[in-house]
Amino acid sequence: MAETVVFAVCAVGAVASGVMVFVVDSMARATFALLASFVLTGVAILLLGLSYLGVLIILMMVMEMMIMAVFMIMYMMNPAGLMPMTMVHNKVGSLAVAIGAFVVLAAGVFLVPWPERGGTPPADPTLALGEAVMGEYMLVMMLVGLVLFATMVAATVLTTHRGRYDRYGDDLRRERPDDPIDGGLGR
Amino acid sequence: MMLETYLLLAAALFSVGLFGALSQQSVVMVMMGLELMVNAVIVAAAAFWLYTSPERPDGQVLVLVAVTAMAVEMAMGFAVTTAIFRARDVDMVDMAADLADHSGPVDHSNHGHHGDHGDHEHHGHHGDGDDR
Repeated sequence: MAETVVFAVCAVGAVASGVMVFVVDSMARATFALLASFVLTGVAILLLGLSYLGVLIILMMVMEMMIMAVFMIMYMMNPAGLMPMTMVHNKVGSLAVAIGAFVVLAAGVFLVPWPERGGTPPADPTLALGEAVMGEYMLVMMLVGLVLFATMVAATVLTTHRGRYDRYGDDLRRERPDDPIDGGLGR
Repeated sequence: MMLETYLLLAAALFSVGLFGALSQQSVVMVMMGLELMVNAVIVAAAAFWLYTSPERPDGQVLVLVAVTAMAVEMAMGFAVTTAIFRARDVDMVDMAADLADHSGPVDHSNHGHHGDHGDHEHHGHHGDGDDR
């Protein structure tokens, strides 16, 4: 019973704060509304018995939203929400598409004959997950690692201010890179 | 019945995220909408794990993949935002419509100054793509 109440509070809160993200004027407030939405869904996942994944999601989202808040304040013209403003296009169409998607998904939720529950949850789901990614699903784990590494490299390359054409010339033929401060030995 | 409730939560989160991703003009706000949509996938996968096949770890692995997708989306989204902002002073999706079909009314003059990275020569060739 208590679980149902907690889930109901979390579910309603998560959706409400998700809506708040696109309603509030202040970008900082939008970021923290999104954080609230993520933390509440993390609690909902904790209720399913996935203690490791729930805590992982909550911790990751807290860090991610801190970074997001910095970017929001960097890139938005109205970070503090001191003046009311909206930056939307085709609001009516988007609302119609979103409501239509919800109706279709909700109809699917109640019309699809979901399979019966087979088996019981393991005593320690985290152990089961760890054994899966180190055994049967090792390919998934290796791909995830590779993708994360590629993301680090690509994000660094994209955000570097001076690229190789700035450093080695348009035809990349320069012997020594043209850097504001030379590096290396023998300066 | 709990499976349906969790899936309904996921559907609601997905729809809210879809609305945000479609309606917001700021690139960062679009990313927030996408994050909400991935979050819905996480909720649905976790619920499917517990209520259909808890003895298999498939659902948990799917949650792990969705969490990774969210992190990658965030990192690459900010990287692209930074790159396009540096190159062309673009921070709204309407200003980065170079690949769009320009049959509709797209007013570039309202969006402040553009950078010097070749945005201007594209303007003379609108409509060429329709002929080929």
